[in-house]
Amino acid sequence: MQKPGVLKIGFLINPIAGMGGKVGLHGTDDSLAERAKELGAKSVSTERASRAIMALLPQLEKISFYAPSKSMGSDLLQSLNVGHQTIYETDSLNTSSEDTKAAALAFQANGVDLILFAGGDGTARDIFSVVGESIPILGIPAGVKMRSGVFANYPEEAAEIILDAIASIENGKEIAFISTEVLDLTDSELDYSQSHYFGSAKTFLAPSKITSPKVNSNASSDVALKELTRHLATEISKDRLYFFGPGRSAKLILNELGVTDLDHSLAGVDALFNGKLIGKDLDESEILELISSHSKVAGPFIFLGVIGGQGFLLGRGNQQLSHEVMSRIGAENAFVLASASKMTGTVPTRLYVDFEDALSEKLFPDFIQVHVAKNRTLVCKVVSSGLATTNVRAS
Amino acid sequence: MIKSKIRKYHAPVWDEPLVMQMGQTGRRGSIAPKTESKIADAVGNALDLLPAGMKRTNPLNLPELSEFEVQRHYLHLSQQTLGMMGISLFGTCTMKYNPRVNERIVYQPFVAEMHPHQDPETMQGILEVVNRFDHLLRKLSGLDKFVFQAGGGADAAYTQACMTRAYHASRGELEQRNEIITTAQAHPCNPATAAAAGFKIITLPLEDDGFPSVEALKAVVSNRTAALMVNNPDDIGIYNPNIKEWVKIVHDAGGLCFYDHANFNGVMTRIRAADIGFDACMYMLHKTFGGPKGGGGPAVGAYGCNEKLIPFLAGPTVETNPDGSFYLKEGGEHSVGRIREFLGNIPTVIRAYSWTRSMGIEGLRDAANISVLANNYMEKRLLEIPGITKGMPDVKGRRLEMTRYSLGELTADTGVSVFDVQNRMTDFGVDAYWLSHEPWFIPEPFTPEAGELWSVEDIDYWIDVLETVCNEARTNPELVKSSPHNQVVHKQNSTNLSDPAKWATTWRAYKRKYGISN
Repeated sequence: MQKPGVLKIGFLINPIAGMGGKVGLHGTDDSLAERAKELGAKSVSTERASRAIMALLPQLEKISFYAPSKSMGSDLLQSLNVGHQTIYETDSLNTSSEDTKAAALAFQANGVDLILFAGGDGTARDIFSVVGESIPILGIPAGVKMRSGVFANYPEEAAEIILDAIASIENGKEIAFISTEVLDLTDSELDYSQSHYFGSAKTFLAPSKITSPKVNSNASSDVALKELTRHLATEISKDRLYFFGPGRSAKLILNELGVTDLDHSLAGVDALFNGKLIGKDLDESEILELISSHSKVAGPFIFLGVIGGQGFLLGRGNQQLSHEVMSRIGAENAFVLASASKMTGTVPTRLYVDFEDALSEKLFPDFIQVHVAKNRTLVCKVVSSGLATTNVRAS
Repeated sequence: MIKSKIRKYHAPVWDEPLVMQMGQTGRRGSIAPKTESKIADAVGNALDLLPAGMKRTNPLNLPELSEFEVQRHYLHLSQQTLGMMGISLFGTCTMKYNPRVNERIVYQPFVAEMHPHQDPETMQGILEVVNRFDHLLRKLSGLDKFVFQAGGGADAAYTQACMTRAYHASRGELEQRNEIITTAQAHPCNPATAAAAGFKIITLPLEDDGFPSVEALKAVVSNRTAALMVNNPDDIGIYNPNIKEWVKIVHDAGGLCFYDHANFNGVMTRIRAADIGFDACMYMLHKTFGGPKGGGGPAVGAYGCNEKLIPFLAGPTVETNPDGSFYLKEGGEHSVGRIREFLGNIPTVIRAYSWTRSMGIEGLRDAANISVLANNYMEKRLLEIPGITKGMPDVKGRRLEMTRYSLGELTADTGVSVFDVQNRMTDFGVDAYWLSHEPWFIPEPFTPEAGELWSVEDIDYWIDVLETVCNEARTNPELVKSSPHNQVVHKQNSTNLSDPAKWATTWRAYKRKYGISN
């Protein structure tokens, strides 16, 4: 990346990435893409990629873009009047992981300085399987799960990292890179609590802008959290609709209520009413329906975990808890719980909220309390997508 | 740049057995002469004088050794202490030399042989020392009354938690006010004692500038707030400049404010808890005030409060009669009762009084200045060592009496951890450093604190040893990872420490767990 003034960016969109989120599919691999479309999912990755590209527009003359054709990059760049070289022709409208890999090969052949992609863990894996550590990878978060350590917190921050890199080159400074983990569920099984390590990729050193890799859950072994969930289980009231977000922490409460792991969905959103599990692995519309059909009783309540090591409350692996869902429930009816060790590893302590819609109205107050034990909370500053840049800077 | 000649060092290795494993049947330290027959005739069998229920049926299982063997054994143990008389920059503990003259005073019969149940009229001298020291600490803190019952800093924090409970109960607000606010950098004894007293704990996070924001505090303060419990500065050495505003916010909401003044050394005579607005504070006499710590002697957490809280203090308190004599007054109807038996660890109160009087106000001010200066001197040299970074490096301004550092870069480069470096430093005859309180928000942390005691040669030597070890980590990492090599014990398998089946803190437990009969 030593050419002064010019950065060669390989840019790629996985157009099906993220589609599974709101419809509760926990991912959008090739086989799940059709199902996601049937369920009415919309392409989110193009929209999120455009947020990043727009933030790059002021420095466009310093960047050369290389992109695959059509929905994998070229269409978007064209619509934004961004000049680019098409380096790979996609065959059909239905793109696959083979297209991602072929595009990555073409990036390599063209000697790009970095690969900027919009997708999730699957997309990161495909690119990594071709380029390894030879080219830095930077992800615009647009998948369902983003456990790997290559994703910016928000689309706009991916652009900021690139703008910082351009400034470094212009000032004759070295750009700092780090090795980070590429993580995903394995293809064969869906053990949601564990991630498989696919290897070590190269990305930018930008700890405040790039989300750390997910840390495996230690909720089950945290005795303080166990005591908290036991207490919460006794506080569940009658005639109220309760939701339980993805992940182990929230599901420990269901365990305490006698709902075994076989009966709820660890990876999904479940609903409980008067002691009975009335919804399992719900998608956005099912959640909204349940809220409507229970409008006569006390307002809905939700237990939410935090993604370990990443600090995300919403927008990673739980896109079915959309802005609409959370505004119907209300931030005051969200009870956030997490293992203390998850929350205290970094300064400053942030909780990220990343709804798909950049302009979504702010739902949470600036500070919320994360419960880490019975009668013990850690105060966290909430950083919301779209408002992210100003919020982070203001601190 | 290493400044000193690194001296050769090797601790004695004795592989000393436990005393229970030594000696021979029948061996004795001293043997009393046989009872003369005339005495025996007059008194009868001495055993018959004992009540039947007090007689042992089995012989007592004691080690059987000669006096010389016992002396030798304890000499060996003293040589195996792994420190406390080396250069000890053990941060957050303010390691100080304990002047022998003070030890001599408290060994005198008028202290050592005093009985706590003596009539107060016969312990006027002791009560006068307590009273005088109370007044000295009032001057240093601006508060109105000190008690010395608490047997350490955490015990004093617990005193505060109990006082908070009693205060709000007296106003009929205890049920409503059930939250105590603290910070991520406060000593863990603050949330722990507040929880033990039944409060909910709200912990504020640090922001980029090294302390929690006023906004975060405002977001959680309410009519449920019982108290604020904070340190300032904390062990990254950063002073929260908004602390007056914090106290006002909490007071306006009806809560109490407690200053955990464990880190008093750098601000002695410069900051008074009451001037900032705090209702109460705590000092550690076994740290800042020259008493022995770390097994060297009993600890004291001096707890002081303002007029508002005096009715809730633990009794008995030392009070003055009109004629100038002293008496003990039990706590009144709102008192939290006793925190500990009697008046607390009086010998350490006497040591601290003696230390403070010999320092004088100017001496205390010099000590505070020197400890801040020494820390900043250390910082300059430490940051010249590749692989060492400062905690919260972007925060501008000088740190106070200690700073938390990170060996994270050295570990990333070499695989040598902060524990390995700690072990290896003891190979040079300096004491192990303190790591840091939880949570560890910076990787591989260590926290040295020079205080006012250590000479510049000592501080330089300590840094030279650290630099030597950091160099070794780059040239011979295995040497550091497998250390200590020159110490009384070599590297231990620490997993045994977390396995209840393997550890044993008594001979009885050792026999049980390792299947030893007898």
